[in-house]
Amino acid sequence: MTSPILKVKNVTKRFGGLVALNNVSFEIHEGEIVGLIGPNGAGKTTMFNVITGYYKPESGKIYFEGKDITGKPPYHIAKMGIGRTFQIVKPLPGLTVLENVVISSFLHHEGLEEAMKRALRILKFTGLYDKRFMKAGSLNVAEKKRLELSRALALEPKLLLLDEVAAGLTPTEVDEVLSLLREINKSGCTLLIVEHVMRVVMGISERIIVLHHGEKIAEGPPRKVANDPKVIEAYLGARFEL
Amino acid sequence: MSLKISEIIDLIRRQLYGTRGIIISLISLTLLILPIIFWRLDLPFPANTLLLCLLYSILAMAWNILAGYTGQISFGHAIFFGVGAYTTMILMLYYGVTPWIGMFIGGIIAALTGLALGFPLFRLRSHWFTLATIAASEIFKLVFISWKWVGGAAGLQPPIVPSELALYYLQYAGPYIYIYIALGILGIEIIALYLIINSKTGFYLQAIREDEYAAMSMGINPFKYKMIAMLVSAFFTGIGGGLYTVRYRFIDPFAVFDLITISVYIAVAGILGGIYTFIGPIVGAFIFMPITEYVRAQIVVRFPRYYGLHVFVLGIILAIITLSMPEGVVGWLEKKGLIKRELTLFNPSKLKEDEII
Repeated sequence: MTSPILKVKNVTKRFGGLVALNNVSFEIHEGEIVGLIGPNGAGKTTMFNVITGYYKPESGKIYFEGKDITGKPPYHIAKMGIGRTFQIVKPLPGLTVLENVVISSFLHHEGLEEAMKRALRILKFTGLYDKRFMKAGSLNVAEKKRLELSRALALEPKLLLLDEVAAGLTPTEVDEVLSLLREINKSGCTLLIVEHVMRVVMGISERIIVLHHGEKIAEGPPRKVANDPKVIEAYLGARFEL
Repeated sequence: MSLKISEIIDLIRRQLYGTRGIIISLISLTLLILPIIFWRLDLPFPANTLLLCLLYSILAMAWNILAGYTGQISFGHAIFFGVGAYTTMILMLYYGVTPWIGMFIGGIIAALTGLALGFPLFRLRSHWFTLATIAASEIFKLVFISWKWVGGAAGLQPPIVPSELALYYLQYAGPYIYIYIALGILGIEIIALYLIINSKTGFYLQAIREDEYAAMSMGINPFKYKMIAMLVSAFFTGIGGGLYTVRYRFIDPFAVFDLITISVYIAVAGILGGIYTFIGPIVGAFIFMPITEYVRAQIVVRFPRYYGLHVFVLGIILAIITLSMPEGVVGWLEKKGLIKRELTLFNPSKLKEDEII
């Protein structure tokens, strides 16, 4: 295996007395699709916020492509090549769909025309092209999730952190998202996904990391994790058939 | 942001095309001819009002970069206005520097003041930021009142110069010459702001206004871009202050650092015209200043015993306009589809399908 693109080492994050992440370590390798699962409040979103610089961990280190990025501001981390989506979608509501994506494209394309072309190409890919002149605030939930994805893609990230992109979607929409994610991965982008929809996370991930009460309780291929008694007790509730 | 002459020419060419071009040309032509008509017919009141409209257009456009595009509502722009006015006056009075250069330096000093203030002010969000701008502007007023070197509360006034020095010291009778200077400044400002708004910077500012948290995930450093907006905004406001100095030839801290007639009037012009729109502040200034001037002139003359009544009437007129058009006049026209919002230089609908895929 190649050297890890992302290395999380002994990360601890507390909010007052609550330990949101307790000494969590894991590695992600280039080209992988890794799922991060766990019950509500397990620390998945906190992990994302620590990796992308929104939270500073109390202890521990995060390395991206071998460089220490612990405590760096979010915009710096975005520039280095980590894109993310938000669990609670954050469109720029007063701007159009196209403008939303263009703003991300500017990260690697200084000129407006280049950024615009790039954004339109991404909107074609994610299926929002027809809505490009609509205000982002007027999209429905599924479309807003796609906009999040489009915006993250426009950053041309090497590593993409997706926080529940399939939540609240219909089964057909879930299938569309799944094939999108596979294509994104095929184009060379490493994916770390937080997801509650088991069909997505088990179906697409090569490896799964399970968090519970801020601690990593299991890690491995989907089949192994799904049969782990600790995971079943903490999260799945019953055996998930693969 | 690259500023090439060819790009600016291309920008003007694009804008002067079709109906929009005809309207812009007609308005520009009218503005160029009006001062001559006012001068010939000896109508100082409309000429003075026109100058005020242009001055407040310059100020409100500058304010809107920070307030409208970046979402940082300032009620302290009198700081930059005052700093620009005082810089121009002091350079002229104490060092004999021509206001042509003095106004520009005034803009730079105002911009530097903006940068210095940005460090504490941008630690605050939304209404806290607004309150802090008011406080800062009152501090500036108090400092200038007690600062003897700049004339203190008595203010500063340059001597009348002989007519052969009129061009050097920009001393002319009446408002007529100053209208052309204001038009020149406004023209340069419109082009500069248009280029900024249609660049990466302009889009980044709007992203910060919409959601600062999300903007960071898109690689945007909010503090850096707020500072850029502040810099540009303060620069043009400072130049506006310099224009005030040469026109009125008398400044004191009460006039140029005034909360109501400077800071609030600028904001009202911007909000009235449409805070999220490009030309809104100009439209707002051209609606608000004539009303203000007319109401003041008429009511103060007719009811001299009830001084302050004009402010009351002004308030009612403003309330009616803002209640019927909360998004501002230009914003309202856009919503009704009467004018098209064409923000960007680059029109994606003209892009061919094969260029996208």
